[in-house]
Amino acid sequence: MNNQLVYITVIFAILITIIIVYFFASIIRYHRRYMKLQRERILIEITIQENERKRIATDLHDSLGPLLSAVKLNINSIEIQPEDQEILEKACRSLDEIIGSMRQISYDLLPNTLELKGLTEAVREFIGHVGYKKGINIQLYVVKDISVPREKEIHVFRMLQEIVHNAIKHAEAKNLQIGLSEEDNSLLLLAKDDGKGFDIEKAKENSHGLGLKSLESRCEILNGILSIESKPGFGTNYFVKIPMV
Amino acid sequence: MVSIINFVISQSIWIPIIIGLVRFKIIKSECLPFFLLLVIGLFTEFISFLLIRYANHGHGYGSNAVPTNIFVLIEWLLLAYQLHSWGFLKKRKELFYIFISAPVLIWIVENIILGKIVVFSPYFRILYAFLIALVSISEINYRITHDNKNLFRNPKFIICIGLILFFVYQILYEWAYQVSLIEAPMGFTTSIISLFAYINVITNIIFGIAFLVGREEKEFEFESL
Repeated sequence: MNNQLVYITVIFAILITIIIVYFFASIIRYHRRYMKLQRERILIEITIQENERKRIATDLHDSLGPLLSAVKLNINSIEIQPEDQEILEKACRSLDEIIGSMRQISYDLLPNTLELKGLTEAVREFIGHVGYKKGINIQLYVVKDISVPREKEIHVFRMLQEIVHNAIKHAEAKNLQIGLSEEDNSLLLLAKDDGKGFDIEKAKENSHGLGLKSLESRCEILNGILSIESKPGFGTNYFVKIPMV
Repeated sequence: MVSIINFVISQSIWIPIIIGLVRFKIIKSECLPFFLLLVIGLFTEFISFLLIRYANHGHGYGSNAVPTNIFVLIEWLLLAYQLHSWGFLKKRKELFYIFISAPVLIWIVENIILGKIVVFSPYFRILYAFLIALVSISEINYRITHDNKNLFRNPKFIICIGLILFFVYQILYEWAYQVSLIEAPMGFTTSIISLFAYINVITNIIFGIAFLVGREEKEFEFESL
């Protein structure tokens, strides 16, 4: 009689345990599915955004650029009176500025070098460009030859752009060191600036911290790891590891 | 006297039925099988009451085992179908048919072949309560992770909370009932058994709330423009 009681109690205890375990297993399963779905959504959004940028950059570079150059050529070929010379020169200078700005916008949207020569060269070009214009000393160390899959290049480049942008705009850094390497089929990206640093938790809570969110989103869709170390007054270290396979 | 009190308590089933009738237009698209189950439940309560009160089996009171055993089968079928219509195994019809048929086979063996329809045999009751609790948990977790609207305005979510509460308690109740059959009823098993009626009231209130908060989903058609 007593054995039967124990037997019944054990069976019911097992049933209740299964229900509790199933509750947690089920919520973990749905959470994983949800995370996967989220990642896919972010990837789609970013891909659409990049495609749109590419389209605008191509339009600016291939259609508007030559058109403006043609306009400038035509203006220069006009025979004019000496008193109009100054106005014409002014118009040409404005045209040069427009062409320069347009090239810059096109470059910011999508650097041609990334498409033509790959990530390392695009990063070198970008760093040279920014360092010269913004007065920051950026050093790039490419430890090993890196081969990043084509579809991942743009995301790594954007992450790097964001890091440089943060160092200049928010950290007001004077020096920035960037290291690129490949290890165990993963791309390693390390960056260290000597800027004023920041409180990571506060920045994440702050809805204005779009830059950090963008870094996180891109890292997430690449199945990568992002680690940021920073303290007010002590600069910022970034560590990014992205699987290449 | 006890049967009258239990009958009065069981009449809490009117709460979701009345709310359901008032808001029938809203709930019919998503909760019709469940509403139907409540109505059948109401009839079963009446029949059970009449049998217990007036059908004398030689020991002063009657048994409601037969209508209850039939009701639990209907309950299983309707709830399984309701949960299926909300998304459970919706893309895997064959698996769903196996899922719904297995307990039905056990019911047939237990109640018809072994002839236990006239007593309260536990196997089917425990199995279907266990399965409904699991599927309801799955549904709740799905809503938690996928629904971006207010969950407490979602009838499916609220009904599943009620189902989990009810059926997990039913498993406990069955345990207490089986224990009380083996040994003389102990204090806490008696409490578990007697509390079941109150759990029933709470779940009926939860179901009523579920019908109350349900919103009509607007259908947009070109004609409405």
